[in-house]
Amino acid sequence: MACSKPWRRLIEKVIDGEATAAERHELEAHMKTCADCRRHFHELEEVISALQSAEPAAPPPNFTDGVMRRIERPHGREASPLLRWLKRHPIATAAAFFIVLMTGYILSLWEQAPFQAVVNGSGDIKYEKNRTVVVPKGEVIKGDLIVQNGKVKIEGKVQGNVVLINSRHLMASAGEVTGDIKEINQVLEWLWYRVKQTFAHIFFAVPSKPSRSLTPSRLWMAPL
Amino acid sequence: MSDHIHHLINKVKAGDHDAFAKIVDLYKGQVYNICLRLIGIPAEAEDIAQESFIRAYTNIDRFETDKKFSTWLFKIATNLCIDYLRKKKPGASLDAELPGTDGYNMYAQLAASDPSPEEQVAASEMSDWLHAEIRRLPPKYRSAIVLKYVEDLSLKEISEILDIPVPTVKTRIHRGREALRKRLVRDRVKR
Repeated sequence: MACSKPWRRLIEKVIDGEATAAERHELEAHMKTCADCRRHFHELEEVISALQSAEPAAPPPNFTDGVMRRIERPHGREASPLLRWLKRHPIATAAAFFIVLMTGYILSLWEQAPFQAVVNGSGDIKYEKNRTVVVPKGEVIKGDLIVQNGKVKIEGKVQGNVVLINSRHLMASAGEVTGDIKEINQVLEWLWYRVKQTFAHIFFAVPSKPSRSLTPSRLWMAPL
Repeated sequence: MSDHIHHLINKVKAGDHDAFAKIVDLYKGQVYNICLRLIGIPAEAEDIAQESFIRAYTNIDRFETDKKFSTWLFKIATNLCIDYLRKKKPGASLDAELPGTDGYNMYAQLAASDPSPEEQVAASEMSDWLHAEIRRLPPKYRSAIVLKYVEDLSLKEISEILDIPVPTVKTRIHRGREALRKRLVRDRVKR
C-alpha cells in the first residue's frame, strides 16, 4: 500500500498517463526512498499489463451463421417486417385497427339489418310475402316511404320520396311518386344516409325528411 | 472504417441481410470478448453476444448514423450482460464453492482438465487468475475494467456505453484496479 493518500493519488495519475512531467519526476524521486509506494506502483503496473496482455478469445466458429439463422428464422423472438413497421408507427396501427373494426361493425349492421318499412307521414301500407311492402291502389302516402332489405310495390301514390335501402322497386307497379326514388344499395351510401339521419335527429329532434342531397354521396361511393 | 460501416448499416436498413453478416464478422470478436470477460461462461457469453447482434439488427432503425456504431453495439452487449448477471442464480456460477470442499470451485476443475504446455503455464496462470478475479469484482467495476483494459476503449466511449459520467468511469476503474491489486498481493502471500 502506498504510504499516504496524496501519494496514492499521484501514482494513479501517473499510471493513467494524466500526470505532468514534473509530477512524474516528483513520484520517481519519492519512490527511490519509499519502498511501499514503489511496490504499490509496480503491483498496479503488473495488474494492468496482465489485463492488457490477455489474448482475446476467438468467438466460436459458427458465430455469424448462428446470428444470421436466428435473424432469418424468427422463432417468435424476432419480429417480421410488418410487425416492425407496426411497432414504429403506433398511431397508424391504432387507426388501422380502428378502421378494420369499424368496417366490420358497419358491414355487419348492413348485412343483418332486418326488413323494415317506415312511413314518415301519413298513409297506410300493406305487407305481403317475401318481404314485400305494397302501397295499395287508391292509397295516398303523404310523406316519405323508407324500405330496408325488402321490395316495394307502389300501386297508389306517394307524395314524397321513396328511399330504398338495399331494396328493390318492383317496376310492374303503376303508382305515382311525386318525390324522388332513392336506391341505396351501397354500404357507403347507406352510411352517409345514416349519418345524415343521426345529425337530423340530434339537431332537429323530429325525424326530418330524407333530403334530396343524397346525391353527393355518389361522388365517393364505391360499388362493393 | 466508419464510412464503410455506415455504408453497411444503410444497406441493412434497406433490408440487405448479407450486409449485416459482414457487420457481425467485423465486431463479433470484440462483442464476444466483452461478454466472455463479463460473464465468464463461454456458452452463455456466446448466447448473449449473439443476442446483442440480434437486438442491434431489430433496432437498427434507432441507430443514429452520426454516432459511433461500435459504442452503440457495445452498449447493447454490456447491458445484456449486466442484466444477465443481475438475474443469474448464484448456483450457476463457476465461483460457487463445490459442496463439501474447502475453497475448491469449478475453476479448479476446469484447470485440472485443461493442461497447457509448460512454458505457457506462468503467463496463462496469471491471465487465468486475473480473469477469475475480474469475475469476482462487482459488475459495475467489472464492466469498467473490461472495457478499459481488455477492449482498450477511451474513457469517453466507456462513459457512453455505461451511461455514467467520465469521472465516475475513472473512479470505477481505479477501484476495480485497486481491488485486483489487493487480491494479487493477498494471493502472493498465500502461496
